Amino acid sequence: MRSKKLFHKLKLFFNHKKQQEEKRRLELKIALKQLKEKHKALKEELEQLNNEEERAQLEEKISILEAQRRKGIDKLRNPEV
Amino acid sequence: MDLFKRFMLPISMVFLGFGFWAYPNFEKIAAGIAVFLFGLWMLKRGVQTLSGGLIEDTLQKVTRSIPHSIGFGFVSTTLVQSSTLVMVLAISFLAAGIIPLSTGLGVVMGANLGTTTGTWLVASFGLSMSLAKIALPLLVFGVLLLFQTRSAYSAVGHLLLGMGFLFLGIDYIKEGFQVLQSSLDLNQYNPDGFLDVLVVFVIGFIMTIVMQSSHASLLLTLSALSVGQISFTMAAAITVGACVGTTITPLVGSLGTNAAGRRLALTHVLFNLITAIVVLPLLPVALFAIEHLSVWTGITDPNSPLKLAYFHTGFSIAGVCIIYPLRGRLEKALQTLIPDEEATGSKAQFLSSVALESTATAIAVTRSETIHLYELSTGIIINGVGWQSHEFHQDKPLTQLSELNKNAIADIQQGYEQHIKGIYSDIIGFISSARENSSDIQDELLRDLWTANFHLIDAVKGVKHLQKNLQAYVSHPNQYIAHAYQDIRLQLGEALRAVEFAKNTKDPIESRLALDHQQLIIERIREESNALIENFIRQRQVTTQMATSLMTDKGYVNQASLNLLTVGRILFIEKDKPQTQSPDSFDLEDEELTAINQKLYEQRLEASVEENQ
Repeated sequence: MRSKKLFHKLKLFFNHKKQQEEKRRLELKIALKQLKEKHKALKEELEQLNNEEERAQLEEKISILEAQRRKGIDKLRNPEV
Repeated sequence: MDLFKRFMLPISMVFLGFGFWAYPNFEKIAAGIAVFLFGLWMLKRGVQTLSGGLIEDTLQKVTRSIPHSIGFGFVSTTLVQSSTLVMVLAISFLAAGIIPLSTGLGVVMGANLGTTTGTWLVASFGLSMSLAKIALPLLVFGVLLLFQTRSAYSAVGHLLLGMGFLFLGIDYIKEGFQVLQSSLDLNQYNPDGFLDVLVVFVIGFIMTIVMQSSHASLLLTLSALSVGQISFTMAAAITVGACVGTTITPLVGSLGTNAAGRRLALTHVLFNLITAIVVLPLLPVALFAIEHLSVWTGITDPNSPLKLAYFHTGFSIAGVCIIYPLRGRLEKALQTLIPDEEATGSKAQFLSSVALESTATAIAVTRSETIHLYELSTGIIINGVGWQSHEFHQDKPLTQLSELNKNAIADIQQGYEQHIKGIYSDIIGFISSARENSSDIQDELLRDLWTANFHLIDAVKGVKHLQKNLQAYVSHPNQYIAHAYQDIRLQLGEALRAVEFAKNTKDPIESRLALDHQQLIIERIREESNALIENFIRQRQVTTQMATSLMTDKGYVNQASLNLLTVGRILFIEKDKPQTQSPDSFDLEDEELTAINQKLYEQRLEASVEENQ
């Protein structure tokens, strides 16, 4: 396992393009995690709200986050698209 | 200054040509200086590329305390071996309002201490061993790496070549002085009294201005001292002259900046000049102390360059000890001496040619200037649509903002010509110059700022087009058209408030979400607007002339609002924060926004049906 990991790192070292892709993938993963946390926080906030107008605004924001997360996950699964 | 430079070049060339012809031994020393300066330039370039703007980024963050900024000044000057470059960066950042004067003062002190590391390195190793042997392999490896496509390898190549040329230069100068020793003895001009010391001080000062490097002057002095060409007193006086001389390049550079930048450049001059004024009369005492310190640390050679390293360090520490307690008074005196200029509104405040020395600095000042332009532009837009700027920035709902008197509403075209156009042109010109030496990532950032400026101006022009109709219809007796134009104004106001929110919120996810949410609303309004106008016409609530005006102006306001959101995304969502690292992965297309709006509409419809049942 260790040698496999080492071999992967060595391969990355010699392939600059792959290295960049890996870096970008990692960044995307971090960003998606942050979006997930925000989404969860807004959902919790929505449950506490009674004001109709404020609820509508929050629902819109939640929908945006959902769409963005979907898009990010697609990109993570299929980076070529 | 340009005229001076134009004359200086041929004069220097003639002078050097004559020097080579009359004193062939001088050739080696001059070549050594040239190679050494080229090495310094390479080293600077290598460190700048390798650090990828790290020095500039750190400078923006060391505003916490003076010890932090002193530490920054020391470390960065040690790394790039150029106090001039570090000072130029600090001046640009101060001029851009990114760091305060107290931080700048700390950087001045640190940079002065940092220059002594060069003296220590040359005195300890440079003159005692043959550096040419190390230089040659460094040059070979440096060239090999320089031609690599990866920028990190190429930067290491610059670094190795820089070190190689530095070592080679030191070796040439060392050999040059050994040869010169047989034909010329500078010791006969040894200073006797204070006046003589002053003359040597001026020589050191001029030498440094001409070579634009205190390191080069100090290297010459160390080499001459090590072969006994000059006395220790003479070397010490030249060192003081070099320390003051090195402040001139940043001072000249600062003339093109604003008052804040000029204040820091003057602080740099004052720091070294005041220290020189204190140290020069006390030179015999200082040299006596260093003689004792040298004996105590085992230095017996009277011409040891290490003694000069002690003196240089002592001079810089003395400067810190003198200036540190006076920093508060010095800041106040400088504020009085160089007061802030009245903001004219039509002139760039932060851009200066000195900031072009480093692309990372150029990016930082362009960002500051674009934010300045954003503030001016939004002020004109807010006023142009009939609101008061200060009231708009309070938390009051937009519908409760007081209406401006018609005479108090600014003409947007006039505002654009008087306050915006000049700065916009300056920024675009500046970005073009900065892009000449930028890396790929820096180029992308500069292009982003270019885009932000373009969208900002486009937004101003868009609002300008609808201003006339807005004024005419917003208080029109026909309530339908009046209401529609009120909505247009509110839409613009909401977009501006979303950008302001992004500007003032530290959480980038929250900021981005506010802008994206606004975009969703704009898209919804755009989708609904045609049906709304058609309905107006069908019901004969407005004339067709009013309807077509409304249609065109809705187009203008949509575009202006979207432009403002783009500006907000570029300027106020920091690039190094999560979620902005892959922004294009999350940007929603029009179709995606339409789908969200459609889904929300269906959900709300379903909920209302359920409620009615």
